[in-house]
Amino acid sequence: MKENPAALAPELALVVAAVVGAVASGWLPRRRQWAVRLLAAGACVGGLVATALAMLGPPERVFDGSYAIDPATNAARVVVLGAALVVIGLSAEPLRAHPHESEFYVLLLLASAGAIALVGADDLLTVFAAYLLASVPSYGLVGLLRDRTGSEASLKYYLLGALFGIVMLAGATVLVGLGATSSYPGLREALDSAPRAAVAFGAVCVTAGLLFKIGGVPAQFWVPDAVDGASVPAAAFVTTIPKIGGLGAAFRFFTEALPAGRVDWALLVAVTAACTMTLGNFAAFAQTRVKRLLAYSTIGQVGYLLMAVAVAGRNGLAQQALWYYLAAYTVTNLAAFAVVAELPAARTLSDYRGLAHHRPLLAGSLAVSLLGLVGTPPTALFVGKLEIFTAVIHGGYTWLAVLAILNTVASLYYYLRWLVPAFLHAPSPHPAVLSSGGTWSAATAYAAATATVILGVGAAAVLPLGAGHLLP
Amino acid sequence: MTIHASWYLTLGAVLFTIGAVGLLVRRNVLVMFMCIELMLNAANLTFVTFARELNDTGGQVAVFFVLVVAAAEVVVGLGVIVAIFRRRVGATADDVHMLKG
Repeated sequence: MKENPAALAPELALVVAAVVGAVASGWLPRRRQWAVRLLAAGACVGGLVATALAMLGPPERVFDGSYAIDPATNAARVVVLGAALVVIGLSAEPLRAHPHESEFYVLLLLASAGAIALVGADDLLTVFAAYLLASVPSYGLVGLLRDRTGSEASLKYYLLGALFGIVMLAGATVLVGLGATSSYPGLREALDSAPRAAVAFGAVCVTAGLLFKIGGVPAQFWVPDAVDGASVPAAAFVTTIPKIGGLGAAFRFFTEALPAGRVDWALLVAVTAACTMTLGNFAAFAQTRVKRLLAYSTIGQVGYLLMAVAVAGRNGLAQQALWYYLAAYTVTNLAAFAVVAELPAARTLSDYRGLAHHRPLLAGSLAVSLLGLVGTPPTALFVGKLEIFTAVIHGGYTWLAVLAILNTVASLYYYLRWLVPAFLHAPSPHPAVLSSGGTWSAATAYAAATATVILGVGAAAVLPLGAGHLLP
Repeated sequence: MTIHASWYLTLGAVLFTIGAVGLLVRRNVLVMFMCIELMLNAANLTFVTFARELNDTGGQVAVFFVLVVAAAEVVVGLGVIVAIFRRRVGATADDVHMLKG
């Protein structure tokens, strides 16, 4: 058994930077907290370099088999660290010289480390620890600015998170009691002869906890309130990074910990995916506030992502489809949030009227990101959807693919409700609503929108990075 | 005389159910917190029982782990509650209703 801390270099970089940043924030004057931002960005870049080195080495299981470093973990590291860099970029202006600026970056680093650990964890107790490392800082992030809506959002997020965390722990105790071990390979062997009903109960409880992280039905209630009430940077964070961790953890749990054919988890996940995408898309129809609309849109997107989890293990396509879609979704969603961060005074869809007249480039970025979320070629999510639909049809869930296509068509409606006023209507009568938040958020929006297109055009080169077998 | 493990597991299940029902039914946020603690301790009891039955120290380690977790989680939760109570008088979950739709 290998116990080499260097194998966890990307995670350690985040945690060490978070601790240093937390200590340093006590001494830094309010105007010089950008030093912590620089430290956080440095930790993410350092983590990306360490991940690139780890990708060259062979996959391995470290620390008594409780943590797997394989293609999925490395893909999660790249996507999470990249997403954290984008969030840091778009939060530069909204948080500049805020009393809690350093704390924001500290919590962001800790929660990102937790999201990566969720994917790497190969043991039920490690998964639970990672769940908490990803959750507890997120509650703080949502309520950090201490305004009225922020603390309400934080309380709702917290109560639901605590409930689902304990449900997940209860499921873990049942599975550990049945299998007499908490490691995934051991469980897979031991659960084969355990009572079916007890295994199903434990598996459903663990899935419930992961669904909270993912924001899928029936644990989606927190998403719209947490996103609407939080600051834009925190909203951008909770709609992307925890979902990466939850989906990666669910994929590994289903394929590695549960014996094949013992419980029909695939059908459970398929039904969950169908409910999630339908609920997210239809609830988004009536929204008028941009953050709430984006929140429901992420619930819809998560439904498509869960489809890849439903066919996990049936064919080799599911894993690369999941990771490619996650990378594409992350950059596209963050591009939309960067546009929202750039226009801090525009809160409703009608505030975006005439955006193309005032800020053509920014309107272009918004169009690329929203049409990207629908899945228009040549953006990345077009390839992502194609990959997932192919994997699902090959996996024998044609009805799910048909439902997803219908949902995709329906989702065009509410994205266009945002885009059409921005492009077709005359210049806004209140140009102050469209005042700029700052150069950093604008630059992040342009960069993320460009990355969406590049990732779509260069899909052939990126796709294989998410493939490769999970460690047995 | 030894008590059979099933009694401990039943007690754990009962405590967990009381906590879950309380969390869903009660309005006062502080009582909801207590229910969360009750559920965590039910999980602890189950872990210890399995550790004794299976002669495995892993379950007892898990209990320490859960205790630390509970402390960390409650600190954050209390912080959120204090932040809310500074702004309004209501102490129940029904009073937080600005975000909906």
